[in-house]
Amino acid sequence: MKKKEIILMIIVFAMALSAMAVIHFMQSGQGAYVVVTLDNEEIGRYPLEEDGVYDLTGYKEGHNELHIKDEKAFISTASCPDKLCIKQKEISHTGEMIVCLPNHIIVTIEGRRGSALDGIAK
Amino acid sequence: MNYKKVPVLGMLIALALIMSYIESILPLNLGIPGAKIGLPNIVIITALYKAGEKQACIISIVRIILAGFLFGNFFSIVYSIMGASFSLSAMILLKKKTSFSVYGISMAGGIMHNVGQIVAAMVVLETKELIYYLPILTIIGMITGIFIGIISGMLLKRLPS
Repeated sequence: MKKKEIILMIIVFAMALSAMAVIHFMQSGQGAYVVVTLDNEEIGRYPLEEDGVYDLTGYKEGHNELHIKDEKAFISTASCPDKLCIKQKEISHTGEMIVCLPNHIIVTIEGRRGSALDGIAK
Repeated sequence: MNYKKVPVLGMLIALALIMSYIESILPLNLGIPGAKIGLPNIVIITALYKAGEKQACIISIVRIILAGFLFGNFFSIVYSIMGASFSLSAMILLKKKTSFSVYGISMAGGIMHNVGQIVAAMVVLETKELIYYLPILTIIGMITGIFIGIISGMLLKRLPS
């Protein structure tokens, strides 16, 4: 490997790390709602304080089971073959999300008054 | 196309397809949707150095369509095509315009593949927030890219031109 390659590698790595830190900082507030979207349309909104199990129907009748427990949201079952959404860690902070690509479902956490991002934009 | 090139191309496509299969049965989970090691890229990089850019592109496209029908679905083809076109463009450009080694080129390919897939997912799901996955996927692309680069480098040393 050449010297300039290594320098470029370190720069890209540092940029990615600092971007991760910024995103982590933006997603630090405790969320209030679990919002489920299908193809960018809201199909469900559940309070994070209430424990519950919800059945989500996504693209081409794909199913996911959303659990809310102890103010944390996670997916327990999925009709897709890869089950990546189940393996993603549970979410509870504003802006965090779980993505199920095959079913086109995105589960995000929203704060009490808009999202943390809007707060920064203001 | 030269008649001698056809069987070589066929073999390389078969090899890339086997790599896709191995990757699809590996129980490896990087925790992020869409993150894979990128084993087929070993074949693509080898083809890029030994057979040429056109051949590398053909192998990549045929591999994606076949693997999509065998182990995936329509959307996995869309994601893969976007990833591959970003990754191949970056690798071809770097190989032509710079003196980057195979490790650097492989790393750029790994990162750009992830960038392409995020762009595809942002379009398909109409959710711009998916860009938050970019930093972590860049780092994952770097690590898998180095890994694939090392294997490709070993392979290129041993293969006759």
